[in-house]
Amino acid sequence: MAVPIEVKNLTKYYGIGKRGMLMKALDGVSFCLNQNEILGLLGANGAGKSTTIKILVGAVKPSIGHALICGQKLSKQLKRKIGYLPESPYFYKFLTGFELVNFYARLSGMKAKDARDATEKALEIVGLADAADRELALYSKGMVQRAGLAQAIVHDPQILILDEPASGLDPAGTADMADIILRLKSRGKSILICSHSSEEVQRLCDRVVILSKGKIAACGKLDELLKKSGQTDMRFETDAADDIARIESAACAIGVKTISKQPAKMPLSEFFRRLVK
Amino acid sequence: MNMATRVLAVIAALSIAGALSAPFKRISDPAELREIASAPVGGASMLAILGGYKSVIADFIWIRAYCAWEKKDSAECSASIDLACSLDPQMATFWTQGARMIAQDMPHWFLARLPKAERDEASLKLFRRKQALVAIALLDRGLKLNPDNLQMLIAKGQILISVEKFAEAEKVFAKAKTLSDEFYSRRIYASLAAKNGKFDAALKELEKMLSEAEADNPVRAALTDEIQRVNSLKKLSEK
Amino acid sequence: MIWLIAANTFRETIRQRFALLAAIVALALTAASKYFLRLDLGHDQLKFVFDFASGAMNFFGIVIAISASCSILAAESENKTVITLLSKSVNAADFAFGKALGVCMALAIFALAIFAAACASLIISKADMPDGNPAYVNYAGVFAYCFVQWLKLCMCVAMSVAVCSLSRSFLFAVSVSFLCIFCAVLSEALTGMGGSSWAAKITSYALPDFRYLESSRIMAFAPIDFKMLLNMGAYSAVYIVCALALAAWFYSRRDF
Repeated sequence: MAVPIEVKNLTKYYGIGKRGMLMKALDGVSFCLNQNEILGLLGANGAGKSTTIKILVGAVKPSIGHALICGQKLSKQLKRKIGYLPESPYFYKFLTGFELVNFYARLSGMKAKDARDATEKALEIVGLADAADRELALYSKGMVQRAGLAQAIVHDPQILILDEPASGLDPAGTADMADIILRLKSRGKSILICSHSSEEVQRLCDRVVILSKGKIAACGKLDELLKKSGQTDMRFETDAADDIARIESAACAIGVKTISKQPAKMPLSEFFRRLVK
Repeated sequence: MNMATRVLAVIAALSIAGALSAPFKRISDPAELREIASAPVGGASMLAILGGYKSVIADFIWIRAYCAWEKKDSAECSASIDLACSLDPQMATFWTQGARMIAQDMPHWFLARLPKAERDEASLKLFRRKQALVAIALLDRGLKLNPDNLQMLIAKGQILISVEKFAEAEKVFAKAKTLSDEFYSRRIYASLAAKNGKFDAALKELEKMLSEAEADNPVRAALTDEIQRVNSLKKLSEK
Repeated sequence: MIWLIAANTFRETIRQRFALLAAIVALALTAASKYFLRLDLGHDQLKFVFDFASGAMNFFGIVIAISASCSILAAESENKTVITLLSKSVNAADFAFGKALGVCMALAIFALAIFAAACASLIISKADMPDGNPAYVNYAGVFAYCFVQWLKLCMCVAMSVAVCSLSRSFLFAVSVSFLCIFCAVLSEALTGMGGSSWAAKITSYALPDFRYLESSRIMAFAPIDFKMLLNMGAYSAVYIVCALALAAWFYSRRDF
């Protein structure tokens, strides 16, 4: 069975105005998104992430190489298997949330009644059911992001391509988005996430592809990529203050050096979430 | 896609469209299209883009021509007349009144600009001849677009008479009389024909008019006198 | 898909402030044409009133057609909504045809409104005329005239969409679109300047020529010539389809 996304030797040149000059945005990029996997696409600004995504959704044609969806070249029919969330989505402000998602559902080939039902469901998943009748002009940035996700999942696609899904979201929203993504994965979706946020990628992704200057700098499972050879991190939990001194002296006795010691702190994002909820 | 490909694609698309649409190229209103075709490029674009608004704008331009006429500004007046005629070529008033302003009023304006010592009959005659040519050229342009307009033909004939071009005036009134049964053009034609020595033609026209005039029409007396005068001229010429 | 995109574009077009303002001004002038008769210096009264409808359709119609098409398509590119559209089961042809159809639908509403205003003005003007005046107005002909002018506006939309498929900025698209319209309006003058050269011949053959759609007074004040109407419809349909096909081809090869 073909993998959901296969990218082979993808190269893209852009003309940059001056006669004959070309800029190489992608240089021989090859990777694949496996079934029921979350793949992170990481890279600095200008690394080629957006170009890769645009090639996958058909907005840009590759100069060399190809991108296959379920083993085939992208076609109008095959696009129904893809759900795409753009980076910093901008939608038609005169539409309500419901109308927007319904519009894209119909464009994905759904019949009118099915589209209406699916739209209600999608809006509920992303938490916009109460704001469905409000115009997008009155939505906050986070709500627009959610509406963007709703239109990406409304037609129940097999493959999801999410470009900066947490962009514009507060920590609570980011956590909700992460929950939604994990739930989608549990329903058998294959998800490609393009992100700047290493935290987000670390939390969600099974594998990562790291792009640098149009080339793949690293590719593989997170655990393997992040492992420091010859080193192990250990964490201890205790209530008694004496235990800390005893652990230190025991470590010292066998020649293990204590590198750092500090009071336990929760991440700011978790503090924010607890406060807001 | 490079520039050459784009240009070739555009040319190909236009050529295909031109080929496919060739059987459907029919001009629907030749009169309206004549006015667009013969106007200067700027005027043609205004005619075609403005559509019906040209009539109103032409009216405003004509009012501007009147204002220039009051100030005796010949350049502004001529330009406004020209523009009004271009914008609304079917308004005979613009052509005829404009021609009359040029032929009859402007010579006096030019004369007034000369030093007092040079303001004589000879100078006025010169200005009249020159302006008559300009006025006739204007009317000819109008007649190209409205060939059967009686008002314009009469105006042209009158201007030709004022500069003593009787032979050409006769031809103009000959055409004018074919467009209408009214007596004015026919009477002028008859007197011009007599002036040019065509007594038989003049008499034929006058007698025809006399036979058509009602018994109580006051013009009968004038026609009778005119017939007598032409007959005596004919006798004199035969001698 | 084309219909869905068209319906969405229609809603977007009728919300364009500039287009709406132009349409309102055009309608107001058409409806008030009877009162402008005081300025009339001798035109035929009913033709003068009808000329306001003609002017509205021509002048304001072309302005609305070009500004609406260019701003909608420029907004799609700038806001990147076109990428989201193309990620669905939509190809470049659906996009180009759908956008053009949406604007044309809005222009159809404009044309109908002008027709209604023109008829109202003509009826009122005719009622004010003295009894026994033989002035004749063919209201079906007025409708036919508005229909032909709407086809002309659809040609303008199609040309604008084709220009937008090549351009990357709104200003460029609007300028070149107006230039194309001027070429269509002045086709004869332009080819005349070239004399009898092969370039002039090709230009006159290929360039669209709005002369073939100019039929104002004939339609409104005389019986309709259906053969002529059919010719005009076919002529405009050919150019609309060719322009949109060109736009679809350019969009399919463009990187967004």
